Amino acid sequence: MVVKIENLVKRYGDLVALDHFNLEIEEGEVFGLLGPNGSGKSTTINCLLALLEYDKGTIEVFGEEMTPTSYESKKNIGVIMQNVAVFDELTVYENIDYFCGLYIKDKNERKKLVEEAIEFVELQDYRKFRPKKLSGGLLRRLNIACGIAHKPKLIILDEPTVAVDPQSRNKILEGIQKLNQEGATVIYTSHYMEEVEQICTRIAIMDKGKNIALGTKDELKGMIDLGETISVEILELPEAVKEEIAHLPHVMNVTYENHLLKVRFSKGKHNLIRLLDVLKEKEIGFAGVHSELPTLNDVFLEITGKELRD
Amino acid sequence: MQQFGYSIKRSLRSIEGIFWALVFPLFLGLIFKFMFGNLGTYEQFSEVAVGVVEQTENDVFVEMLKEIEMEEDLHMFEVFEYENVDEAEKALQNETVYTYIVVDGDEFTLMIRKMDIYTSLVKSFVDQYKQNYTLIEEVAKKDPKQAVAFATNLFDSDSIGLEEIELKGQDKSPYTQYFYALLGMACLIASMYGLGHGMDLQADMTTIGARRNVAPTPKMQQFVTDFLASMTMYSVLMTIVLVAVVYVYGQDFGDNFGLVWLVTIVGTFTGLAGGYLIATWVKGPKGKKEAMCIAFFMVSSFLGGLQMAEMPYILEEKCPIINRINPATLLVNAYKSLAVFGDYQQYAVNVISLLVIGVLFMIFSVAKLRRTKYASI
Repeated sequence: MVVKIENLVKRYGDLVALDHFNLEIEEGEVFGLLGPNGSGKSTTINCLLALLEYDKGTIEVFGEEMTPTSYESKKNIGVIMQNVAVFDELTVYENIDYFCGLYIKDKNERKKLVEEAIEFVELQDYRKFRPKKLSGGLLRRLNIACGIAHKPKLIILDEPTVAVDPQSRNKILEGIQKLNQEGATVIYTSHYMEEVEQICTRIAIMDKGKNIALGTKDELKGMIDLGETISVEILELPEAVKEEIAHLPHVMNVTYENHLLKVRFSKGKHNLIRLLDVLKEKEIGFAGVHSELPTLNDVFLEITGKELRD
Repeated sequence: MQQFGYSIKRSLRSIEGIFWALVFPLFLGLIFKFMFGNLGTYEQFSEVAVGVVEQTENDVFVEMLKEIEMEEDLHMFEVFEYENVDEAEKALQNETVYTYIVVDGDEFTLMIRKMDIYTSLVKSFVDQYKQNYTLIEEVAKKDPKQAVAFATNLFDSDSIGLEEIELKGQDKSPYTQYFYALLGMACLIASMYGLGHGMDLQADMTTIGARRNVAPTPKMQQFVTDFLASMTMYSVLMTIVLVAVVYVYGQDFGDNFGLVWLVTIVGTFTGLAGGYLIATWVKGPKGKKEAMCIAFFMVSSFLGGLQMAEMPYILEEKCPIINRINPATLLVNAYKSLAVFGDYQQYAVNVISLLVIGVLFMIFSVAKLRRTKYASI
């Protein structure tokens, strides 16, 4: 077990940020903490890193209680903060070397690690640049390099792709998967469900400081009734036909807005065929037809009654 | 050593830091140099040429004026006697005398061409004479036997609390005071370095602080490295400022440059510690702490006489404790002890006071910095 959190409670005055929160993360996982802003993801990470005082509960990392002086455990942890944490006065190389130096004292070993980190985030052409001369995406990559240069066994990334362009975001996500393939356990927090779905092997969905669902993405999707959502572009849909569709087997909900019919089906077979048969029978002309499987947003929506980004 | 090196590099490359530590004091020094550079020559005091016209005799007054003229140690006036006001007026217009006094028994009329320090001096003398004469006259009326003793006592300087202090130092220019205050301020500007480094050690202040707190290098080790680097860096900058003030701007800080340098370094330590204190104890965002830091060294410098040389004297009268605890005043007094008074004991008192304040700042800062967990981030 790399991380074990039991019964964690953290209050900010009257606000309960973490409410008897539990979590276990195994070695080699890419573990996603998914939840809307203010759900308690960053608070969990800060408690895990022994930065924040908490009211109740225990936290173990690498089998030992995590305290501010757990220097042996800290040696094996790499952190990439939500906000970029680098010195403006130092160059790309110097920043990575500085933060790596907080973990690795041997100069030769450090030099090798810094070079590897620069290569990993593809900042070879920018090694002498100061942070202010880097674009947002490059700055994020530098931020990551500073956190992983010492080759940690546990890497914690707290929303590392906020305000990053799609190209840099893809590079960051690919990098995280590569680090995991090289043996690192990864904890990844985000409110972007697509990212979490893309890279995480297991996901905890958080809301109001609680762990409301936990599992692989398929397991999570399996927890809800929704099977698929079928969208059909229709020029005009009579109310009577809409009513008939609503009475088809497995239909959970029907909407028709802006010439788009959306039908949510619970798990079941032949949903698309039945829907198209009705439209054909009533001689309703249609254009594009799309079928979507449930997303994590659907999971969150069904469990909490609100969207992830509300 | 790696951390130390990078800490020095960060300070060296901080344009803001270099501006406050080096450019600002040197620029201010240059302004002082232009403003006060030639003033010393005007202040070479020479005797005041005073004309006297006796319309009605007053032997006592005229004799006293002449007595002062003759006195070797107090050669304050050069007295010219005129028969009438016209002659005196002519002498005043052609600048033979600064002023003339028309004596009409116990009445004195002072005639001047312009108001300046010399005419003020003559006026003060006349006023003082009139005041003392009235007092002696009143005593003589009541008890003639006591009048002589009273008059002797009245003019005895000891009885009115005056004490002559020998100035053993070389510098007697009142304007060097501004350069002492300038150096005092430059030392305290080190607080800006202390502030930045102090904030970068706290997880609840900066993201860099958070990153450093999760590293396996103990926080106190990081603090000591940063502090030593800041001290080294700022000491070098202050040495440059000091050398520029003494050798380029030509200000006299006395013979013992080593001791001048020592108090400058101690001042730097106190300034730096002040910055750490603000970083750790003042609650609020970065901007608020920076404003507090600027207020710290500006107010301290103002009270130390940077903008108004008389300020320490005013405080000595109204609230002397401020002069004992204000770092800028202690620095100015230490410089003055060496350059003006040549008083090493007073110098030591000021340096030790400064050191104690710096150490206290540091103890309070470390007490807060030792925090390893935060209530919120």
